Amino acid sequence: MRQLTGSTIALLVAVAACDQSNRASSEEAAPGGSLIVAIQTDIGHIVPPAIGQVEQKLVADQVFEPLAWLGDEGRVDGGFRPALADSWSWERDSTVLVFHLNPAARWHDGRPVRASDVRLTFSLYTDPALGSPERQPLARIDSVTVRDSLTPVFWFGSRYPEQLFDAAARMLIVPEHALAEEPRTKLAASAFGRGAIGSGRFRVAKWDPKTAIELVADTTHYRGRPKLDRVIFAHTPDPNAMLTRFSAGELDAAEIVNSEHFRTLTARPELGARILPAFDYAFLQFNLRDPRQPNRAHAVFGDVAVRRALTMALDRDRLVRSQFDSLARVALGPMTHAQALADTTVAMIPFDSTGAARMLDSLGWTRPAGKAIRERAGQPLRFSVIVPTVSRNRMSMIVRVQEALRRIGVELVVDALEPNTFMARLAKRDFDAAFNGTRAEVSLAGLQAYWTTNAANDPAGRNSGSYRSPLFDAHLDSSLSAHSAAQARAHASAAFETIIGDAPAIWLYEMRSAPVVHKRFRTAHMVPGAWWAGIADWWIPTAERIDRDRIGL
Amino acid sequence: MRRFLARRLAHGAAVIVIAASLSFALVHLAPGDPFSGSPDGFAIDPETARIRRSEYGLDRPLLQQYLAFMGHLAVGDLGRSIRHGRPVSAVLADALPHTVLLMGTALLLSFAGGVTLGAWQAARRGSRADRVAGTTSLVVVSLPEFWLGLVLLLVFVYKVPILPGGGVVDLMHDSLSPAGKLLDRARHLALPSLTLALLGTATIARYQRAALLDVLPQDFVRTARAKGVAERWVIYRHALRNALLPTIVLAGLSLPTLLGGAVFVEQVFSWPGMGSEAAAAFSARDYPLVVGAALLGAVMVVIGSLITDVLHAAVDPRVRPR
Repeated sequence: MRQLTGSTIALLVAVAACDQSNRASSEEAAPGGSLIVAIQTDIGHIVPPAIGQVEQKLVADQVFEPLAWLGDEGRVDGGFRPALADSWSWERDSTVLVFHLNPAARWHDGRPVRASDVRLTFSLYTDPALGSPERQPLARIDSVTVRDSLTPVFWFGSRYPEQLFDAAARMLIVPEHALAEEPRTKLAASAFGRGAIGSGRFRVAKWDPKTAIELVADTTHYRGRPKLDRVIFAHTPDPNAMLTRFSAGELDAAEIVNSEHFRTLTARPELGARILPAFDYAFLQFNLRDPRQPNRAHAVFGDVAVRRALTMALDRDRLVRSQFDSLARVALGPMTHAQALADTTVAMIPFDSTGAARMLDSLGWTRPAGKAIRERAGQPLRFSVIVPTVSRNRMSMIVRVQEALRRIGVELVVDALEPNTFMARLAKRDFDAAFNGTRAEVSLAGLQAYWTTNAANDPAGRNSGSYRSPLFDAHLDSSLSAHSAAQARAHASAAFETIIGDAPAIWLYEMRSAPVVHKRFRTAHMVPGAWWAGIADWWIPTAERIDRDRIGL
Repeated sequence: MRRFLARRLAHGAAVIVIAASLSFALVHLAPGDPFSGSPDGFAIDPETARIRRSEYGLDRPLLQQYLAFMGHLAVGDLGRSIRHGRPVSAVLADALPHTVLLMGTALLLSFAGGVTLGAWQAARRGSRADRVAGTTSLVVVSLPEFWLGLVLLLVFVYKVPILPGGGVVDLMHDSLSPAGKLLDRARHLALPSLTLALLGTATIARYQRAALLDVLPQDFVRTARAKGVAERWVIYRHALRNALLPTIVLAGLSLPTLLGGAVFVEQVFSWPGMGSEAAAAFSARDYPLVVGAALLGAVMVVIGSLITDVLHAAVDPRVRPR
C-alpha cells in the first residue's frame, strides 16, 4: 500500500467496485444487518440548516434527502440522481428552475412531502440565525415559491453553471409542519434536533447523547426500504480506543485519518478500505501584512519572490508521502481533486532547493560566513508559524517543514497553540505564518470567503493572510457567473494559475477520505467527500451475518 | 454537632461561590470564544457569530456578564449551554448519574482494595512480598489514566475479549432480561471503573500501610498481643481500625483527583459523564457549561469533604466538636 500511485489506487477502487457489484448480483440480499459506524464527536443534533460538522452530515444524509443527490462523480454541473424531486425543468431563459416532487414521498410521520417544505427549507438555510455554511452560496437564489403542492419553483437573478446544484443538492429538505413554529435560534436545541422527522431511508430510533445514535430502516420508504435494518453511530472520541474497538469487532466502519492506524486496520483480513478524493486541504499561509502594523507589507512575506523561494525549497511530494503514505497527496492549490472544476493541470511551483537558495541570495537574504541562518541587513530570515495542537497531522508535518527550510538557511519557529487561541490569532491576523486547513466546497463559490480582496478587506473576513489580487477575483467571479461549463472551467483555471503563481501560501497536502469497512458488508456507491452516500444500499449476505445482524427490527 | 455542620456548610458555600467566580473569569479571559470556528476548516459566518454573541450576551462588558451570571446563579439558573442549546442544568443532569456511578464504583473499589493491600503489606513489613507490592503500587500511581485505560482496553477487549470497550450498554440491551440488563451495565462499567480504581487502590494502599505501621508499635497493640490475641486479629481488628482515620480523609480528598481522572477515562471508554462533557465544553468555549461543570465539581468536592469531616468526627472522638 505504501507505494501506491493515484492511478493504481483508482484502478484498485474500480476493480473492487466491479468485484463487489458482481458478488451483489450473484447473491441474494435479504434485508437485515446492523452497521456500527464510529464517530468522534458528540454531534448534538442533525437539523440540516444548522449543521456545521462533517459527522452531523454523515448522520443527516441517512435521515433526510435533498431534491437530488450529486452523482457518483461529484460533478456540480450535471449527473444528479433524483431524490425527493423526480424531475425538473428550466423556464424563462434558464433563470427559473421548476422541480416536480415525487408524489409518493412521505415524511417519517406519514405526512406527504410538499413544495412548501422546500420553501421553508430555503428560508432556514439562508437565515443567518442558523448559520448554515451553505448560506453564502445560496444567496445566488432570489427566492423559492410554490406553484402547487408538488411544484417548488426556484428563481435566480442570473444564469450560472451551478444553478441546479445550488437548488437541488445543497439543501436537505425539512418538514414545514414540524419546524415552522419553532423559534429559529433554538432549532438546533429543539426536540427535532435529536428526534428528527425526515424523508430519508432511515429514521431516528434512539439518541443517547455521547454514546450512540440508532437509526432503523424505514420499511415503507417510497424508494424502497434500505437493505440494512439499522445503522448505529457509536461515539468513540479517542482514536486509539477506536482502533482497539475496531480491531476487536465492536465497530464496522470508520473514516481513518492516521496512516499508521490505516495500515494496522487494513492489515486485518476481515476489514477492507476504499480511498476517495476529499475536500480537506492544508497549507502554510503567509501573512502578507505586518501583524503589528497592518498598513505595511510584511517584512519577509510581502515579497512574492521570497514566498515562491520558500515554496521551491520544499519537496512536498516526499514530505506528504513520508507522513501520510497513501492517505494524502500534494495539494494543488486552494482546491482539491474532489472538486469537479479543480484544474489538475495547472503548473505548480516545482521543488528546486538549489534554485530556492539562489533566489534568496539574489534577494539579499544571504548566509554570512559561519552562520546557519540567512540574513539581510543584519535581520535573520526567521519567522514563526502558528499551528493548532489539536491537529496531529499538522503538528507532525510542521517539524518536517521546519527541517527542510533549515537546510536552506531559513529558521521557522513553531508556535503550537490550542485551537481557540489559534483561531483567535487567525481572526486578528496576528501571525507571521499559520499552518491553516480548510474544507473546500464542492463548488468553487467557497473560495470567495477565503481568498478574495473583499474577504481581505472585511475585518471579520476569513482571508487571514490578506491576499489581494484583482486578477484572481475577476477570474473567479467570471467562472462563477459564466454561461457555459467550458467558460467556467477556463476562468477557474486562470484563477488557479494566478493564485498559485502569487504563492500566498505553500499548498501542502489534501487529505483523502479513507473509510475502512468490515468485509461482510457489500458496499454501494461512494461519492467523493461522502463515502456514506450509499449506506442505504449496503447489504450483508445471509451466510456472513453475525449475532448483531440478526436482531431484526 | 449542629454548629459544626453549619460552619462546614458555610465554608462550603464560600468555596462554591469562589470556584464559580474563578472559573467564570478564567474561561472568559482565555483566548477565543464559542463562535470563532474550528481549525479543521469550519468557520462560522461573521453575521451568524454576531447574532449568537448578542443572543448569549457575550457582546456586553465582562463585568456586566459576571453580574448577570451571579444574579441567575442566585436563583439556581446556570444558563443555557452554547454547544447543546439546552439549559446547563439539563446537560449536567444527563451526565451526572454516569459520573456518580463511575466515581462511586471506583471509590468503593479503590478504598476496599487499598485498605486490604495496605494492611496486607504492613503485616509483612520488609518482606519480599511487601517490597514487590510497594514497587508495583508506585509504578501504578505514576501511570497516566488514559494510558492505563488504553492498556486495559487492549488486554480485555482485544487480546482476551471478555469485556466491552465502550459505551454504557450493549446494542442488544433492550432485549435482555432484567438480570441480563444489570449484568450488561456492570460489564460496561468494569473497565472504566477498574482504570480509576487501580490508581486509587495504589495510592490508598501506600497511605494505609504507612498509617498501620505508625499504629502497630503503640501500647494498645502491644497489650492485645500480650493478652494472647492472634496476630491476624490484632492487625485487622485492633490496629487497622485506628489506622483508618488518615485513609478516610484521603478517600474524601481523592474526589477531585477522581473527577480529573474521569475526564480522560470517560474519553477512552466513551463514557457519557461529566468529565468528558466539561473537557468538550472547554474546548468549545461553551462558557455557561464550563462554569456549570466547575460549579458542580466544586459542590461534589465540598460534599466529599463534608462527609469526610463527619465520618472523621464519628470515628475519632478527639476531633468531635464540643
